[in-house]
Amino acid sequence: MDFHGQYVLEYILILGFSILVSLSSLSLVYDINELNTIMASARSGVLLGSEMDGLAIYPPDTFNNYIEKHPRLKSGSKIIFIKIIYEKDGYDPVYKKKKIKLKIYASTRSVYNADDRECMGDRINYYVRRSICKSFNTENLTNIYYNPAFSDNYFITTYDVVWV
Amino acid sequence: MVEVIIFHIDNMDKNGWVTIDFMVAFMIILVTIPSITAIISDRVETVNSVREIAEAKILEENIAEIIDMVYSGGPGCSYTLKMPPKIGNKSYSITINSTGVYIMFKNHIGTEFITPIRITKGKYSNILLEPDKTYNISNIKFRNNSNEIIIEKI
Repeated sequence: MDFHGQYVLEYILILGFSILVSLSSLSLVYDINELNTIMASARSGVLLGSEMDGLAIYPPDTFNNYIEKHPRLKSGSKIIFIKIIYEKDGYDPVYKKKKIKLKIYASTRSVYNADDRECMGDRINYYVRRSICKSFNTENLTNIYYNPAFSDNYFITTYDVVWV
Repeated sequence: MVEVIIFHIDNMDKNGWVTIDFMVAFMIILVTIPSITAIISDRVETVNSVREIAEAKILEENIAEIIDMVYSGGPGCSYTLKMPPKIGNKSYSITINSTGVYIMFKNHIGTEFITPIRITKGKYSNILLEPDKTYNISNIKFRNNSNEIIIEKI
């Protein structure tokens, strides 16, 4: 009986300690998991945005705008995605969420004009934010440009795409 | 009797361990699965969307290439073009004029340049290619020894 009593006590101690560690790390795990989801969604958005730029298929308003101001963008161009990083930017009392800014690095050798590149970068950023909103079902919380995008505990904005 | 009780307690201990292990694993799964599902569904949707747009672009480029090929073939050259019924279960429309081939797909427009030439559709100059229809694209001699591309529905 003593043996069994000791066994049960050790078990309870280990179990209690395990539960304590699990509970204390649960919020951390959840936070990391959310960040992981944000970054995975952002990558999906980069893929779609760069394909849209690459294939040169746009909404009608944008298409007409490009005919006048950015004729180079009427034809496709090759875009290479390099990397995406995030910067935590503290807590925002307005949205009551933590703020993240995403910075995307990409490369293209077929478009040299800075304004054209900015248009392409804006499209990539748009699809990045849209993809994040879709993943977290927060499309109704933001505007038509999905700026900022929202996850459960973060609100996400984007830097201009860095062309290298 | 004592052995039976000890066996019973041992058995309870083992069951307890299994249950707690299962609960911990289940909690981890509960936290992880929704995010993985969201990522996977988002990625699948992205890939499907890219595939459809790429198919639309390929169709547009093929038509532009065919028109250029018929034009460069000289008078008498023709090509029979069968339009696909849909692109990825979605409707589309193709418009052609002398500046290029335009595709309208999923409320997006894309264009592909062609050699600047006179293109007509029988009596009409506004050329709209409809899905699931067959067209004959032919090169004929026009006035002043210039060539003209005529697109007719078969």
